[in-house]
Amino acid sequence: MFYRNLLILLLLLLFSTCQPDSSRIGWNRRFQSESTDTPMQTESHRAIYHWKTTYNPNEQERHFLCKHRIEKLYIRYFDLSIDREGSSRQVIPSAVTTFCQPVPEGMEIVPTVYVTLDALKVIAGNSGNNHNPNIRTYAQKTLSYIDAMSAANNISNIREIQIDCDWTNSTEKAFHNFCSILKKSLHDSGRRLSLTIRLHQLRKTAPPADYGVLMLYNTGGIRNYNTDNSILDPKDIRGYFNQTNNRIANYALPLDIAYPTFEWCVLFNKEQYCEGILYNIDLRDKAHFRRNNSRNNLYKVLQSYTYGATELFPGDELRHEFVAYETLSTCKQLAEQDFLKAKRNYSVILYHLDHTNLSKYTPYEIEALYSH
Amino acid sequence: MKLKHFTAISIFLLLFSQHRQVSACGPFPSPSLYTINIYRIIDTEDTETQWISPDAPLPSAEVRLVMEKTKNILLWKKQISKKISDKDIQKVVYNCSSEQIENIYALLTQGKEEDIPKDLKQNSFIRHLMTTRDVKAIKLLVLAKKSEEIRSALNDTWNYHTRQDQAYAELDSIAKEAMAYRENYLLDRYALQAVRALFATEQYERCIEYWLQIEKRIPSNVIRDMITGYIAGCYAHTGEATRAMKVFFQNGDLESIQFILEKEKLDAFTVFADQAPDSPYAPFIIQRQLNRFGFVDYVFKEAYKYISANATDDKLQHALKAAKAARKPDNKAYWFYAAAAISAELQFQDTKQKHSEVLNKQIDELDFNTDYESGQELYNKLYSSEDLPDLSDPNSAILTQKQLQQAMDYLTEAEKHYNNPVFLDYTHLLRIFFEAMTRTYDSSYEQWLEKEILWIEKKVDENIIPYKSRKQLQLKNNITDYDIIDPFFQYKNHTFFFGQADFWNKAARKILLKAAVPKAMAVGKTTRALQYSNYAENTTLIYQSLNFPLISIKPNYNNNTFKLADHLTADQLAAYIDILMHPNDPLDSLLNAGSYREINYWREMTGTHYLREMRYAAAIRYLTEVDFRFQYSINLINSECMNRDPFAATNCHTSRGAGRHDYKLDFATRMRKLQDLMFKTEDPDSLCEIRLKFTTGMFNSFHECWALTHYYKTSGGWLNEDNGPYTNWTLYLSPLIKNIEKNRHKEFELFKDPERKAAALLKYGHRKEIMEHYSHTTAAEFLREHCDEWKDYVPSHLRSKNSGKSPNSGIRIAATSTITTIVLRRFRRSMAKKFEDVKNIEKRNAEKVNGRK
Repeated sequence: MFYRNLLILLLLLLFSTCQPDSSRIGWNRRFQSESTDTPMQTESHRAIYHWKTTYNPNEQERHFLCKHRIEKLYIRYFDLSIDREGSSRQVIPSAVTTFCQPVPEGMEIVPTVYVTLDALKVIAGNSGNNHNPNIRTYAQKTLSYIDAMSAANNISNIREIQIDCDWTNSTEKAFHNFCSILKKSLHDSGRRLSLTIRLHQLRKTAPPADYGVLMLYNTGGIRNYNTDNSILDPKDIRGYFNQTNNRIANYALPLDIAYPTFEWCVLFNKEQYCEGILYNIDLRDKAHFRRNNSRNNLYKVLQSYTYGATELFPGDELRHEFVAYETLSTCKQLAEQDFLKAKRNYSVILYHLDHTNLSKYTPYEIEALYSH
Repeated sequence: MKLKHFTAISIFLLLFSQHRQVSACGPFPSPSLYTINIYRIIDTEDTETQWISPDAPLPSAEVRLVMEKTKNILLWKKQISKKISDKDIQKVVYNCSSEQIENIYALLTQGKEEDIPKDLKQNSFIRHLMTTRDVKAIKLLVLAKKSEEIRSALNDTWNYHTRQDQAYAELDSIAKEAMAYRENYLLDRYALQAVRALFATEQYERCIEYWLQIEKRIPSNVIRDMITGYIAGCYAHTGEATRAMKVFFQNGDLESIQFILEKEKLDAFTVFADQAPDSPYAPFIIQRQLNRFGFVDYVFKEAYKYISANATDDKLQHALKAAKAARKPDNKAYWFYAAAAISAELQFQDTKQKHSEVLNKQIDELDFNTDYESGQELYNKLYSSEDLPDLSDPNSAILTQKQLQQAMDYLTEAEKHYNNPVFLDYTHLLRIFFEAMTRTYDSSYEQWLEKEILWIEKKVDENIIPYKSRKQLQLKNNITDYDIIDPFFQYKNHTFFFGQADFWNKAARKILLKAAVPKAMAVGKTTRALQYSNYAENTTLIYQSLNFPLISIKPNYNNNTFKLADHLTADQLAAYIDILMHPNDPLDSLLNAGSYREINYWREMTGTHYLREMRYAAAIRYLTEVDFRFQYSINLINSECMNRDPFAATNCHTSRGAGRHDYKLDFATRMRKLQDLMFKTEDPDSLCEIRLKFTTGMFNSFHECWALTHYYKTSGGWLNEDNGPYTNWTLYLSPLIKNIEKNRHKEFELFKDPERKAAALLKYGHRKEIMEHYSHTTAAEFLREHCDEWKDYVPSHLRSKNSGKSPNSGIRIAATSTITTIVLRRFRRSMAKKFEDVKNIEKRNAEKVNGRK
């Protein structure tokens, strides 16, 4: 009896602990099989992206990880982009994340690399075949750089690496080859490869990887003045779900889902997109901004205003984009019904760890997003 | 009596319409002067977008490195032996690997010289080191090679490094070893290795400390220059940017200068003025600053950041200091020119500031909730992209002689120091600008300006690429005329199209639009102002159209000249046409020659203005003379709004399709005929019908058929700044329309025959009045038979008498008409509210003013 009570107590303690430890991670093994060649069904866990150039979460963000029992943190390590300063078009790691504090002990970290389309084109070279030395070289360089970063910053709990790339038809072959090399190298060292999957990429052949993360954000045309919300709008995603030819069920990779919990303002001048995305701008400042009567999320700039490196001028317009919980919930329902129909297990990942944005949702809403 | 009544109304309307017309000092649009830069000291296409010109006289980084290499080899010879060939030194110092050098060092220290590879043994440098057993030199080479190898690896972007890396430890060890060396022989080279290693490991303070210890022992040579470069870098990293800059100026290390300027957010102009007034780069830096004053464009809007009053005042002090300190006469002159430009800019800013204060005061007094349009207009003025105050107040553009005297004095100083003809042309041009701003506008002003315009024209002629040369250049570079001129965008290859002539043309444009036009307007010489504007905008295009057959000058409804003309009265435009056709003086002839003179364009515009002023006979006179083919080129001809029925009682949108070329003339003729009929008709009811039609035409010509009197209106509502030049449209047109509408309604009171009155009321949608007062008429019967909602028009106290169902409730024709009426009513109500708002604001302002008094 004593041992039974002790066991229950231990179990309770274990579940109530804030920091997810390695043993818990062990229980939530992503893959049911140790086989590295066949993609397997995923198991559920709570995860979030960290998409900043400095890893320095504040107290509230650290508390968020504890409170919502986050087990997995996808940290953007660097971008692969073109060296614009050099004379030749070389692919280099850029916007490398600086770690100002250690990552949470025991939490699984997924180093994530964003590959720009320009970089992918250079990596592809003239031919996208497996024998192109460029692809292999860059794949190996990328892994070495990730390993060096992890080692230098004492990040050890790494079981997989994620590649984020908005590849296109012309770069599809090269991307597949790049992933194939990465996957093999990772499997050789007992690790896995995951990829971000944009909605439009569901129509394509799945790239070689162990699983994908379906990005349910950036679904609308950001450059289009008439777009209401380019981050996420149910009408933009409806066409991808609940189809007779269920794309989720038929997709060759297991999928997790990532939901947006961020906001931004998109800058327009005379209805033309201005390559300007502004974060955390105070639109309540009536001296500078005036809300459009017919479009609630459109603000006219009344006075010149300097925001970071961007200057706003009278007449400019800002489209404030934010996905309210109700919208997220609708989209979640829309997307996850397909997962349920296909009897697919999946995890929910939020994008991204930023208190200012996350504070727009109640803890209950966050919990609801993670639960399924 | 009735005729008198009507005449009184008409006169009131005419007076009202005249009231908004521009007086000499009234509002007129400000010319868009962006991208026009009048300040110039050197011939350069675009120094704004380049930090320095590629043709700059100082060596670039690559050239500097080659020079450094040559000097270094010579120094090795001097330090080791003059017998060693340059080639052999180069091979060992620059080409040998770290391993090779380490191997030589090991074999030499172990006494195994014979084992050194043959190819190296044959090298005279190696042979000398073997013979002399110069271990210090070889050890130095070992350190240098090792350091280079590690630093190269550190610089590889694909290597992720932290301070804990082995590479840092190794470099630190190299630094320690090099710093420990104390002998005079090769001390400079050991010091260089120490400094390099310390710099690479970011030990900047330690590096400076070490340098200060040995500085005096290091001879003046290429190695010292190299060391000081690193030391300057250390200063830059430890926050002593000014100290660093001094070294970089001495070394000509412009990349480092640029790096520090960006890092420290320093202003290049100020730094050069203080530290390198004689630098061969100074003219480029000055020109870049001058461009910032000139190019206050949307594209270069960030330029505003640099010209806040304090910063500019500060720049003036720096420019004057540099002008005094500079020894080279050309640089001295350039700094004085800069001082002149900055001094003038300070005055412009001061005027703008005062203007802004006035506008701010007006904004403060405005209630945005009730008068948003006015507030928006004031904000637009306040944040206008012009570098001068908004020219809607011409008096604000006028500066006194005293205000620009200081600038002119600095210009005189500049001219004294540098006698270069090209530079003197630039100073003369700036003087023209200053004088055009400050001289009193009278006949002598015009005579003086004529002389200066001719001078600028000469400069344009001198700088435009002659036809033959251009063709030869095109052939050589395989460039067609279509590569130079786009039929839609006029020109796309700036150099081939204009060459340097563009600068002179733009300068003339700035002088005329910014100084001469507002001055002429301020003294009431509207025709002259229009002449200046037309010349300024069209002279080069006209000239180039002779050279380029592809260019066709089309009627423009969006340039400054159009905007200015559009705000003048019809009589003022008619006077301009007279001058275009019959110039009175040489200045008329000169300006006409460079102007857009398509007489159909001007006649059509004048006719339209007469329609706007409701002077239909005069409108006919001008519109009749417009070639019908030209009418197909006006801006609204393809719009269906030029095909609406201006005499429609309630809805003009009865026709669709492109406009008619004689739309305006036809309207003017019909209005004129109605005017004649009004004088001839005696039957009071017929007269009322005619008057109603006439007033309807008048109303529609400003409302739904606005294309009869204007050139712009948004599709969704009233005009604003973005859609056309009429910023005051809402303010002046809504009361006007409201008044016409009010007076049209009064016309009904003059009917005698109730049947005809009811028919007219039905036509104009006044159903309630029919049901209330003329329920016995045919019109009322018609309503009862055809309108589902006729009961709604019956006043409540009469409802019981007229109750009953519509015998034909299925017919919807009348309902459609009702909806139109409701929409129109709502519109009129909103217009009335706007009018009331304007009146309230005026009343409030008047109360405020009275209160202050």
